[in-house]
Amino acid sequence: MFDAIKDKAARGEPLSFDEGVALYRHPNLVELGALANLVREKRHGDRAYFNRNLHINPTNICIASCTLCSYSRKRADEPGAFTLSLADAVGKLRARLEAGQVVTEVHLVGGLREDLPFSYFTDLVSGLKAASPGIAIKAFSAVEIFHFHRVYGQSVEDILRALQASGLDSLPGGGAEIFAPRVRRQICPNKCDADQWIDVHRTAHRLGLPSNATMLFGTLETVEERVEHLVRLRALQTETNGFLAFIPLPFHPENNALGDRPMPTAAETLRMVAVSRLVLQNIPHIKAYWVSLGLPVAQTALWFGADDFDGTVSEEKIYHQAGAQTPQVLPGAEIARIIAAAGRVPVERNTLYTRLEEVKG
Amino acid sequence: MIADQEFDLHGKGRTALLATKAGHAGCGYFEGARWLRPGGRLEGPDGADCVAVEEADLPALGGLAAAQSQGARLVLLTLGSPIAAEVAAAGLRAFVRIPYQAGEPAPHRTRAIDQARSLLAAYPRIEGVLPTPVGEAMGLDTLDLFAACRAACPAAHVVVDLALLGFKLGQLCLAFGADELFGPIGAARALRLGENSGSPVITVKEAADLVAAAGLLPRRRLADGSLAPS
Repeated sequence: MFDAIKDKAARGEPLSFDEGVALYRHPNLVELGALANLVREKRHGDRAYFNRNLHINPTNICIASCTLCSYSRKRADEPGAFTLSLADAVGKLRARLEAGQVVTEVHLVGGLREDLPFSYFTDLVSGLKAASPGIAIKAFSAVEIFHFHRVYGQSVEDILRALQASGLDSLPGGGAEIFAPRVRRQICPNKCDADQWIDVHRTAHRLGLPSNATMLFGTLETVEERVEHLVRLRALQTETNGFLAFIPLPFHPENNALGDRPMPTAAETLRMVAVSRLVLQNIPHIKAYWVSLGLPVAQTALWFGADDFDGTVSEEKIYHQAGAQTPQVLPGAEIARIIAAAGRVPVERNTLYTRLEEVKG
Repeated sequence: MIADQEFDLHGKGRTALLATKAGHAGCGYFEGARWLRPGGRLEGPDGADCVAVEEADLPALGGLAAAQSQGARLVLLTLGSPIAAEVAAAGLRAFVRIPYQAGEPAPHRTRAIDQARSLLAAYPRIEGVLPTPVGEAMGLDTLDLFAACRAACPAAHVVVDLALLGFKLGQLCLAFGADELFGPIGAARALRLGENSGSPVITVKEAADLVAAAGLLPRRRLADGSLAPS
C-alpha cells in the first residue's frame, strides 16, 4: 500500500482517510519522513521559514476548565492569575521596539472571560496596531471568537468584522485541540465544538482573514481521530483556501489534570508532522513550533515535512506552564543558525508569507 | 553544522536502522546508570541498575581499583584512553565516548570514529561507543553522527547518553543507528516542575516505551551487562 500512497502523494493528489491511517501506522519512520520530505521540497525546496513575532497573553483567567491546560486560572484572586491592562500589553510591544528589536507580528491569545467588555479586546488590537502600524496582528483563536459571540450576543461575523476594523489581520490556529467529540468532551468540554471551530474559520476566510490550524495530539485520541481531524481541515481548505499553516502540537503533560499521561515521543511527533504534510496537501505550510517540539526535534522536523520554524516568540507562557523546556525567546539570528545547521536555507517571512527574505544562517 | 557534506538524512537513517536491527536482532536496549563521582558521591536516580565512572574522575577516586571497590562496574573511556587495557584486565565493562561539536569538519568526526573503532577491536570488554556532544547538541548534527557510528561499527552498541541528549533526541537516535539508551533511568521520577523542570530522569517503563515506539524490541540491561528476562 505504501508504494501506491507514495505515488499519489508525489502527484499531489489528496489521500483518503484510510491512506492517512495507513501512513500513520507505517512501521518505518524514516521512510515516512522521506516521503513527506519529498512533498515538502516540491513545494518549498530547501527553504525553511521563520518570523519575528511577539506573543502576548492578555489574561490567563478562563472559565473553560480544560483538563489539558496548565496555563489558566479560574479566578482573578488565584495565585498566578493575571490580566494585562491595555497599557501593559502595548507596553510589551513598545519595549521590544524601543530596544531596537524587529517585531513583524503580534500573536495574541488568552483565556475566556465573561467579565470584560468587548471593547477590551478591540482596544487591545487597535492599541497594538497604533503602536506599530505596520505590524500584523494575529489574534484570538476560534474558541475565543466563538466565546465572544456567546458572551457579547453578536454573530461570529460581526465579532470578526469589529476586530478586523480594529486592526486584526489574521487568526491563530489554536483551540482546535482534537475535533473528535468523544475526546473533546473529556479534555475541553466547555470550548466550542469542532463544527463551531470550523465555522469561525470559514467565516474569517470569507471576510479575508487568513488563519492557521492546529491539532493537539497525545491526549486521549486514537490514530483514526487524528487523521479525521486532518481530513476535516483539508475539506475546509478546499472550500475556502484560507489556511496558511498547520501546526501539530504534542500534548505537554506537566501541571494539568491529564498529567499521568506520557508526552508523545519524538518519533511520534515526527510521524505526526510527516502525516500532516502528506494528508494536508492543500495547506501550504507545516509548522514545527519549536516551543512545543523542543529545538532538536523541531530542527529534525524540517526533514520530515515541516517548512516553518515559527518565530522569535518572546514570552510564551502556555507551553512553559505545561513543562516545556525550551527558551522563552529565540533571537532571529539564532533561529537562522539552527535552520542553516539543518542544511536548510533560512527565510524570514511576514505573517502572510508574502514577503520573504533569505537570511544568512 | 553539516554543510560541507552531502546531506541525505533519510538515506543515512534507512541504512543505519537496517544495520542496527541486523546487528542486534531487532532489539533496543536500555540501562539505568548512576555516576560515581569524586568523594564517593553517587549521582543519578534511585533504582538505576549500573554504577558508571568517568575516566576523568578516576584519579580523584584513587584509581580504577578504588572505583571498582566503591561499586563502579562500567567505565566511560575517553578516545585514545591509556587505561583501556587496565579496564579490560579488571573485568569491568566499558563504553568509549566520542566527543562531537557543532560545526566541526567531517574528517574530524571520521578520525574520532576510527579511533573508537580501534579501541573496540582491541578490547572486547569495550561494548560500545557513546557519542558525546561538546556544547549544544542539535538534532540533525547528532543524528548524522549516530548514523556514522553505526556504519563504522555495525556490531557494536551505539549508545545514547540520555543525561546529555535528553529523552526526545535520544529516542530519535534509535532510528539513526543507536541501539541503547543509557543514563538516568530510575524506578520513578518527579514531575518536571520548578527546580526539577530540567530533570533528565525517565522511568524504566518510559525507557521501554521509547525503545518500543522507535520500532525496536525493548530489552533492559542489568548492572553486570546481562539482559533482564524479556
